[in-house]
Amino acid sequence: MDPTFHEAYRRYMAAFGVPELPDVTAVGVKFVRRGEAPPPQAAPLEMAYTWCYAVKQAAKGEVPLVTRETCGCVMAAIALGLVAEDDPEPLPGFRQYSQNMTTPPAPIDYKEGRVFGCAAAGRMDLALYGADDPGRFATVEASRRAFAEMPKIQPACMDAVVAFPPEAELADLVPDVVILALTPRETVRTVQALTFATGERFEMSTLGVGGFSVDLTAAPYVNGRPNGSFMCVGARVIARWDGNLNGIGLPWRHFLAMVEGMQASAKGYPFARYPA
Amino acid sequence: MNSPAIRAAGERFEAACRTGASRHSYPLPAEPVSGAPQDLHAGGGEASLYLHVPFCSVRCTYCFFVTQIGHGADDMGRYVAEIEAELRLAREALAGYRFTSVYFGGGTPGLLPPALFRMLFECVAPLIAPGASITVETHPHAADAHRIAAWRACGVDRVSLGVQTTDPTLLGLINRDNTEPHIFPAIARLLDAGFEDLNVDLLYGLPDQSMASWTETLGAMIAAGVPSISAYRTAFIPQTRAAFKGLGATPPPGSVSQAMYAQAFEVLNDAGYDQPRYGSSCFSRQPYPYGLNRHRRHVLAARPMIGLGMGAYGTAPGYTYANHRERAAYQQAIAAGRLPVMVAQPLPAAERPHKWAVETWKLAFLPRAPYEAAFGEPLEVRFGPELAALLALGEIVRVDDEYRLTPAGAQHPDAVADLFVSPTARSWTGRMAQGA
Repeated sequence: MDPTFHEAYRRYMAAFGVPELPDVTAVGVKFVRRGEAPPPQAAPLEMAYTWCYAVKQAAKGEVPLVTRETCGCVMAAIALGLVAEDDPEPLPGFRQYSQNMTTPPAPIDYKEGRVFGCAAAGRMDLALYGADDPGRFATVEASRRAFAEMPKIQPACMDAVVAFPPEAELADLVPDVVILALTPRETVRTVQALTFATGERFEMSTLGVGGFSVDLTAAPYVNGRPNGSFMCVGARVIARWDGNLNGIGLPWRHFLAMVEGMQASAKGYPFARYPA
Repeated sequence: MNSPAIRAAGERFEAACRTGASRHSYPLPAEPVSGAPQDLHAGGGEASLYLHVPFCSVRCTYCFFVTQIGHGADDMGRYVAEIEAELRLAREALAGYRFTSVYFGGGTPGLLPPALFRMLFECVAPLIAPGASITVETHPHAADAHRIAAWRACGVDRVSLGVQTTDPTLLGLINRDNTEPHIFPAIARLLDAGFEDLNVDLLYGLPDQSMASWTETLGAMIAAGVPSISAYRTAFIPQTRAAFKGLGATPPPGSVSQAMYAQAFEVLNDAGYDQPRYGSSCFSRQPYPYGLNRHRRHVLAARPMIGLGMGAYGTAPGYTYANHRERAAYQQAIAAGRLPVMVAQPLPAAERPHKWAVETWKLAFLPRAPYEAAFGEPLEVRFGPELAALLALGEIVRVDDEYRLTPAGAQHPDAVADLFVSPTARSWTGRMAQGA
């Protein structure tokens, strides 16, 4: 019988072996496939959240239900399987991430490299940071490649994504993916725990774009492997994730294996002596 | 074991058991022919057609097939157009065939949106013989009402559903996103739609899989009224081993996997899934000749199998070949007007009976009549010493007009198959890429 997310998180934190809780945020992610009922604890949003912001709010105790209508970042909506990557229609309504653009972007604009390569594509109406914005990538080709190689849930098959904290009253929610936001100090301990049983290297694939949606959610979900991220501009600027934090996304089974590794290796790694 | 030939065969078998022979496919000359001839597929008569559709929604831990993850409908549309172009390149060579079995495999061909599936089907429809068996592989999530209707409208008569296990913990381990509540509605929808020939793929020998969990999965499939079940042993090859390793999951001991197979053999036969051949993965309530669906019966009849699409492989009368496994290479070849073949090997006529025997042993038996029909001589003329040695060692048994693995032989089927590789091919080191 697997422990609940709440119990696994409690064991994880205890295994650091320090009197004060480490600076680790853990958030569970549950996908709601088309036609499925969302968990009753999940709260539909009154306004759009970027995915990175939704995860942050979940860390504070909310259980946001993010849908096509309320996903504030178009790239996240694609990565999380809420919209089709080749949809030519801009997503309606307010979207924090793309409010700075003078033309609302459609998913296909990301795929075709026009958003991330706005300057090279001559589409400054899709720029985030004004007339001098060079885009996220220097060329349209680089932008297309970046998009093509991003792990994402396509064809789109999700109605919603739920982020939730590891709280006892949510014990019946089993996450598909667990997102950890943690300092380098806690990251190294967590990676030690993750690799303790197997010696398998922890590999990290990231791009500085789509930190929470692509690197920490879609990548572990579609590849079935943990991944790390230094987050992205949206996570830093919009969701205000602290500058000293980076992220690890783990499929649920890997999270449980990591917690076992934490407990089994607790006496071998003197975490309390790692400089803060 | 009196004759030197029989004794030598017995020694070869013992050696193969000691070294753990792994016989996934027939060996090939190390050096492929340079460039595929445009008439690579040329031939005629009854044959089977395999179309590889690589798209999947997630990467499953146990999978080593050619897949593409995270592609949307427009890219799928491009792929359908690429297969159509491949078909045009091969059109003349394919014109003489009567395809009586068509298999859409993957990947997850069931993921194709209905309109794209119809487009793909219409590309090959002129080649399909009346009354052909047409199979689509799918994932439970993709078996929705719209897609099922499209498959039905195209004449699909057989669906192969990837279930693998109903154990939620194991589904998480293998990164399947079909949670248990999705499996049974999908089965019900397919049965309600009239797919009398519904197959479910199951996996045994997974890390951490208990006998209780396996038995429960078998029982659930029986209770759901699934007409056919394919029980496959989990393959631990470098790609899958690496994926499992990240979870600290290691292959179970061989005896555990063997016990799970024995359990399936007993439980499924008791439940009316008639399969008297120990070691076979195929269990069905359908009244198939040899207990095998038509696609597999083409193997018995040594008929050509034409594979199309990235990563597909095939056997035409003159060649064995494999298509490019990388999408870019596949696309480049198509765009240049070349067959997208990665490796092609002429297959000498003398090798064909050996290849037949190696591939047919994967079905856990060697039937005499199909061999004689295909090659014009009794099986024992070419393979007398090998069969005699295996009979003497208790690895196989003759039942009626076929040779079957015994439970002992089923413990090392690759070593049994390896014995039937020709002396010439034994020195070949080339292998068809594993994939499609």
